[in-house]
Amino acid sequence: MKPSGARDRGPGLRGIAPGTAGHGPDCAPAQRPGAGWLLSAGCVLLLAAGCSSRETASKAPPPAAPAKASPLSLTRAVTIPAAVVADPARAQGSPGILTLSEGGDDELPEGPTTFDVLSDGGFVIADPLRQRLVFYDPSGQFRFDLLIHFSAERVRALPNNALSVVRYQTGERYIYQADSAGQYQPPRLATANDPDPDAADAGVAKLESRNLATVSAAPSPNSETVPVPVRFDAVGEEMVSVQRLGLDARLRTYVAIEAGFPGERVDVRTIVRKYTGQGQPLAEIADIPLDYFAHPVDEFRMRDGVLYQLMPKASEVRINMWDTNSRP
Amino acid sequence: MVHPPAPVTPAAPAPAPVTNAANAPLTRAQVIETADELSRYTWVCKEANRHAACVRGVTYESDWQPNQQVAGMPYHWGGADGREQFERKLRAGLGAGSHKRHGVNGCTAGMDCSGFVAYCWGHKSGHDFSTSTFDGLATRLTGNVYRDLKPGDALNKPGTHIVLFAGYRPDGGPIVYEASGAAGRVIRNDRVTWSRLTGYVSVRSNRLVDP
Repeated sequence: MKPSGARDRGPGLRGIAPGTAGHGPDCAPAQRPGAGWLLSAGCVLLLAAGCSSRETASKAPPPAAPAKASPLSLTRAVTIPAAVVADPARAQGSPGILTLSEGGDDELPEGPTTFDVLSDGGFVIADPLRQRLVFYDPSGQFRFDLLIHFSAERVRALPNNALSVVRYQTGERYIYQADSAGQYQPPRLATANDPDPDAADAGVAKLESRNLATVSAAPSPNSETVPVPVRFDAVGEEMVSVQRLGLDARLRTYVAIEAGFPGERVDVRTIVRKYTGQGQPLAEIADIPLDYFAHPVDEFRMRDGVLYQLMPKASEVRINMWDTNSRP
Repeated sequence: MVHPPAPVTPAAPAPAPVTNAANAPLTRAQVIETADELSRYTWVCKEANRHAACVRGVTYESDWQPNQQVAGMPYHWGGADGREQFERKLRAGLGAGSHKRHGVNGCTAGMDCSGFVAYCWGHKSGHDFSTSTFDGLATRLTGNVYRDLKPGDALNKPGTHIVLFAGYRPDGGPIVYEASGAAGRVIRNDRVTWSRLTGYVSVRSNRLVDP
């Protein structure tokens, strides 16, 4: 199904510019069949925001588990064509090809900044140089694009096929809602009542020392949250940052750790771990490549126990996937 | 004949150091204040500022809408405009911001990454430095980049990009100010990861009086 704004609907319908948005209940999307996972995802988000649960009974952090997480290797990768172009506004070729700029001489290369995983396992990827969002199926085949007339810094899939999109040049967040036919409506500015998956996933992360951090869901007046202790022990190496990637339906917490040797030059590796609510490490992904051609704003998404990595290269955009569900 | 001792004349006070824009001492607070002001600086993009008449051979697409109010000095590759200079150029109808693909030109305004850091470090006349030539105004640091930086230091990758360090986040990641081509303006970036800064080295302005 192709929403309005899709490339093959004609130039008049390809793009939806912010500022032409409707406001209020007339923009509310209709419920779509087959969106059951979205309810699950919404539940996950609510849990991430601090819904009560048996695993959120106490504020005291549990003792760190001594057990080691079992290592996981790359499960599969999807490759999407991309090209470095000199003039993005005149870029020709298939609309399924993502766009990058060359960079160099005191300018970073630019390219796809952000992405999210859709209800059917497909992807939406921001192509900021051409001011659009591009939709792919789970195998990386192009479906359609949506001209938004600005560069997206962040995109998130919301329930009912809606999208949350942050505009890079202003920081404003827009909501694109889909109607009952799956067609995207003109955007409206997000309000405090709109779900913010980025904030929910990020929760609270604190680096306590070179080998200990804690992460937890965002504080909520309705529930208590238990910090998950994150330990890192490697000879000579120290944990230099920690990022919470989210919580799944089984209340497993996913954490990205950056680690490096002390020195004057930045040189880190990234490790992603899956934890129980009690801080027991279940799985560890350590073979994460970091040789981006253009570093995205959002490197990772976690959906249904699968870690996704957006990796823009000069001639392709890879989405690497690690399935942690074998370590539930 | 005994000569009386020569009168002792008090030593003349040492001449006061000549301070000017090129060598005036600077505090870390001043550096961060300048960076923050540039990231919050609000301006309005008029229709005339959405075009760049002298850019040839490549499409100039403005990052902004007509009459849009924008927070943050525009990113302009090769530029180092301060507020007053930028506003003069806006009034003259120059384009607001540009990228490398538009080339070095005289019809757009704003500042790029090295122009931004040099400006925050007090070098406010012209674009004399690139990320490859910061050695002349900064000292490379030898400490632990993940622990020992102070606000007002910078992280530089010669030939690529430079950002101004503002502090460490509670999660251990850096907070930086940068003139970002992707964002099209000067921003405070609270979400940057260390991995995005791979290969950057820490440098400190030689003009800081509180190193």
